[in-house]
Amino acid sequence: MTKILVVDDDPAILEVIQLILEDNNYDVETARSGRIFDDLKRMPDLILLDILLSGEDGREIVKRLRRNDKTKKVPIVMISAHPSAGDTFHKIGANGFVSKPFDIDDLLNTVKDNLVTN
Amino acid sequence: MKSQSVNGERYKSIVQLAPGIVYTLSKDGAITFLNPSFERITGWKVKDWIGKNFATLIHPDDLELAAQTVKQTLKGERPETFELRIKTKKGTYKTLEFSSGPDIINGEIVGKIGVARDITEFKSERNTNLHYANLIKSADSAIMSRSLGGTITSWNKAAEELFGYSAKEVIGKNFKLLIPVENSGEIEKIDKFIRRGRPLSDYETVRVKKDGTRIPVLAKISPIYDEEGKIVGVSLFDRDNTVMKKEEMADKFLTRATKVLSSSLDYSYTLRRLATILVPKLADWSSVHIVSDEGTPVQLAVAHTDPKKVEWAKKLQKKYGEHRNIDDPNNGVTRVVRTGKSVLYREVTDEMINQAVQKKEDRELIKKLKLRSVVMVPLLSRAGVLGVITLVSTDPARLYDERDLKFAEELGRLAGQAIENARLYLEAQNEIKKRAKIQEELSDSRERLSVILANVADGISVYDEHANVVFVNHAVATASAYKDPGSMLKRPVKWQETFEVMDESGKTLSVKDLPGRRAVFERREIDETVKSINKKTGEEKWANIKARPIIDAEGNFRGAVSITHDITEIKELERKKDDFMSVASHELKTPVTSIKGYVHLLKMYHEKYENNSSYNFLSKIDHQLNKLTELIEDLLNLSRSKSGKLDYNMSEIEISKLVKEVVDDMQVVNSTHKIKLINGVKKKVVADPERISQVIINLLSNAIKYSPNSNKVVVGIKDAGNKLDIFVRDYGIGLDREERDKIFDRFYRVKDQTGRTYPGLGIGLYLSAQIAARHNGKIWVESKKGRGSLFHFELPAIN
Repeated sequence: MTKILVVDDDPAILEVIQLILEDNNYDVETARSGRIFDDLKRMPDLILLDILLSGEDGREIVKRLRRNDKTKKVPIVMISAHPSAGDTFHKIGANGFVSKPFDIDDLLNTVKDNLVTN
Repeated sequence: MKSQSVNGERYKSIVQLAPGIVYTLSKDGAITFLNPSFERITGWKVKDWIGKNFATLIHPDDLELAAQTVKQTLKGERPETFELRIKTKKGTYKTLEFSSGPDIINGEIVGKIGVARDITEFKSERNTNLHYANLIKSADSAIMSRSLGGTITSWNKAAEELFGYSAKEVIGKNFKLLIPVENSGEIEKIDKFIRRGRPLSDYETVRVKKDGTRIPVLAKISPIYDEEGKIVGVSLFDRDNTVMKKEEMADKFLTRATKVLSSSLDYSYTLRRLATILVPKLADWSSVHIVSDEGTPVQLAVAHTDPKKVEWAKKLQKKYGEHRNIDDPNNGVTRVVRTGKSVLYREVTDEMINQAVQKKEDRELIKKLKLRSVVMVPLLSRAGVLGVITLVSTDPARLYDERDLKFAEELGRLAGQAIENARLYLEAQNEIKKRAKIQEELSDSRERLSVILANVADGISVYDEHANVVFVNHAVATASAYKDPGSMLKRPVKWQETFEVMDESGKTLSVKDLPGRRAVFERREIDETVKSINKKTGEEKWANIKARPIIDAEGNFRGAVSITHDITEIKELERKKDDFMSVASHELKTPVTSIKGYVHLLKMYHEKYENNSSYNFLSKIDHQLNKLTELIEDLLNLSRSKSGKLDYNMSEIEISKLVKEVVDDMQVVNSTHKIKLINGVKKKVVADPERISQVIINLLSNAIKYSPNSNKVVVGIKDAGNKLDIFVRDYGIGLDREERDKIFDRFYRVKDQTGRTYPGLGIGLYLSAQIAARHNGKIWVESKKGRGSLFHFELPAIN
């Protein structure tokens, strides 16, 4: 089963995304911060990452993930309320972008697209 | 004896030798004989006159006398000697003394016989003496003589009149009786001069008259010599000097008065002085009135020989000099003021006082003051009557006359002139002072102004017409990293080493791009917000610069003034606000995101269980959530656009394609209006498709929103050469002029007829205009209230 890691500091959003993804037959793991990556046993097939986490910058997490051999090839889809993030996600090494608030279809399509590409 | 002593021959000889003329006339007056003396005395030849009528030789005025003597002679009488003037050959007349008698021959009177001697010289001498005697007798001047020592020896008529003594009374008496006590040594003093043979001319002195009064005289005093040249006496020639003395005094007084009058510019002081110098020489009591601003005379000064009487005089003047019935002829001062004519009361009689003054106590007062003679003259200037001078005499011997009046009038004229001059001078002085004060105030205010300008918090720079900096204040200097304005003026562009200045969009500005210089070059008002970055410290500052051309009073262009207002703090606040809005909208989005997610999940479940009504409601919730998201999006965009954080991804795009996509999308969600697209332009533009779409979406949604009673909107693209015009036409409520001007402002929202606003934040067109500007394009509108609107969105095209 395709495993997706969702990182967002908002528990409600985490829950909604988890429900939607699970409903679409994804294996979902959630995290409230970027520190989780150090403890991961199995690498996810895709990471959904909120850019603005409390105390952390999602962009820094992306850079870190890209430097790590284990994670550098995992597709990352950024989620952000900042529309401008949609213009810059490529530069920082992310693969896709979903703006908040999102349509479920948008979210699922973006996830699907990025999994297929890889 | 007779025949013996006188025979014919001897007679003949005597006649021939006689020094006088011997002649005989016939009865009818013809000359029958003349002796040779005739020729010597008259110059005529004897032979030329024998047989001629004697009368032709006689002066016409003497003919009558001659005829009379002839008549007498012919009657046989012998008239007394008589004088006739005889014409000489030179044409002159000689006076001859005649003795004549009848020429009797044989007892019969045959004619006249006579002798005449030349008395011309004697005659003239005698005439002179007579003349002198007459002169002395009838002279206006007193002519007297006295011995050395004083005994009076002669005394003419004029002396009698002048001094009151007759000649009889004084001849033989000592001249001392004419000398006042205080001059008792005068005779001895004068005799000293006379003894030395020195005459005294124009000797001014005083004589005592018989009545005891004194009279000033001007005397000519000369020595009298006897035949041997010895000084035996003194002749005195006195003229009454009263008038001269008066005139001279008047002259002297006027000179003094002029001095006094011109000595001070304070004319009330001057006039008070005038009053005092009039006393006692010209008056026993004088007063000066001036005409007040209300036109009434006010007593300025009173002077009296007796200081004690000044108060009385004042009292009296107050009562009778002022504020009295103008028609009262006795109201002197007021009358003079009114008429400008002088008044002379030569002799004030008790009767006059009684008539003029009703109250007994007042009469007593006047009588105490011993008013005898009064002169009142106006103080005249070109402006009219300035006041009145009153001269009062209490001396019965000093009664004012026409001469005094004339003098007083002259004085009044002089005083008036002096006042006028003083006033003109004071006016001039005041004017000068006023100007000096204005000047002082001007320089004061100029100084103050420059202090204010120098210290005002806003930066002020002044440029001349060539855009050279001619003034900067402290704020400009210190903000530009100069020590003071002076050093900035020395090196006006040195600041560029330290600062980078850019406009709001981040474009670096060179020196000539600064608003102040642009105002000079473009000769118009330039308002700009600029940012300056200190290259060394990285400090960022924002400023609003307002530059205005300077036009002088004649309309000439003189440069520009620019005022720099530091808005760094405002900018900082704005940034904080935008940050807040950014955070806020972001925070708003988070719950919206999760709500949306839950709604979607619910929709999915309801789809599964085919609960359609719930599904419908959820769709509505979703729709509202979309709207909420849009609003939040707008807010966020606004704050980002304001803070310059809005990123643009420019690319070459085919605008017709973009417009079609937008129109298609819009048509899907808007069923109320048919969006008609007029297309066909293939030109491309360089733009951010996202932003351009945003603008078109905004224009279309406005067109739909503001035309609730219409069902059509038209969108089109027009080729305008190097530009493309994307237009959106609606048939809605339209805009009036005021609205047209404001719709591109932030937060402006159009109201309908009932004053209600339409939903939205009022930032769509503002953002659209910003986007247009960033693409070097523009947005504008043509519209009329109630007639729909036509929006144009113009972008530069790639040809």
